[in-house]
Amino acid sequence: MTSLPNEPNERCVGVTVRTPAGASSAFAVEPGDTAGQLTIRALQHFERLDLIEPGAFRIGLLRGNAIVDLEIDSLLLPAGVVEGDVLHLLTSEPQVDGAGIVPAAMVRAA
Amino acid sequence: MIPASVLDEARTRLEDAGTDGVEATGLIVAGPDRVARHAVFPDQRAGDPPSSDTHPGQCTGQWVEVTERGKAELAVALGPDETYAARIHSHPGVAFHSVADDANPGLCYEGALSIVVPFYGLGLRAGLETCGVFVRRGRRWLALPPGPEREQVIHVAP
Repeated sequence: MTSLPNEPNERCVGVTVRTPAGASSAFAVEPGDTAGQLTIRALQHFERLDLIEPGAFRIGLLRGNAIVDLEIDSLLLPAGVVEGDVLHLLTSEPQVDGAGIVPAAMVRAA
Repeated sequence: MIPASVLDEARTRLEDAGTDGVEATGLIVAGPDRVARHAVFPDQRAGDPPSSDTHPGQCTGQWVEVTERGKAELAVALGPDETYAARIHSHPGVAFHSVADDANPGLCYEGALSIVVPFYGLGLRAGLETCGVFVRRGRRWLALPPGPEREQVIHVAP
């Protein structure tokens, strides 16, 4: 049995993806799209606009006052992503500030 | 433009952490008009070796790391029309951009600002002039010493 194009499981949905700094853009999510695929598309888009720099990122789904982490191979629609959802790119790298970390070369020289 | 009240709010948080002998870090929220609205200090930890293996054996004592929970808090804290315009964090001594500060991926986009407050936040009592201010240009942090160039990029309103 075939599905009609506008049946819920065959539709693409529109979502908003935001960078860690809050820049946002709209993306279409196809039924077969994974979190990893959307992450790559969003990163390429934001990098072109100088709104993000290359790095390791994951993506999370905004639900109320929480972020639901999505595995990179999760299919977005079965994971609960619906029309109008907001997803956030989050850095997977350490977010460290401070005066106490010195270059490795200085440590070796000491 | 940053209202002085936003810097006061940030200073209080930085000084509070300073009384415990640790640094603190936060982000300043701005509206579409680029006027700062408030500061967000997410869940963070300081004073222990970094959790990652990117700086093994390199910690000499003072650093602060936004936790995974804190990263999510930062995402949730933004309103639909808001962005993070600046990162602000304290140092125990003088204000400069350390290797860790340079490598921090938390706020890296063209035109982003980074404010380093000396003396665990106390330096901000004398105004932004005592702080280090850096702007992201060409994927590097460039220092903006006090003066006309800094004033063009960041302006404190009473």
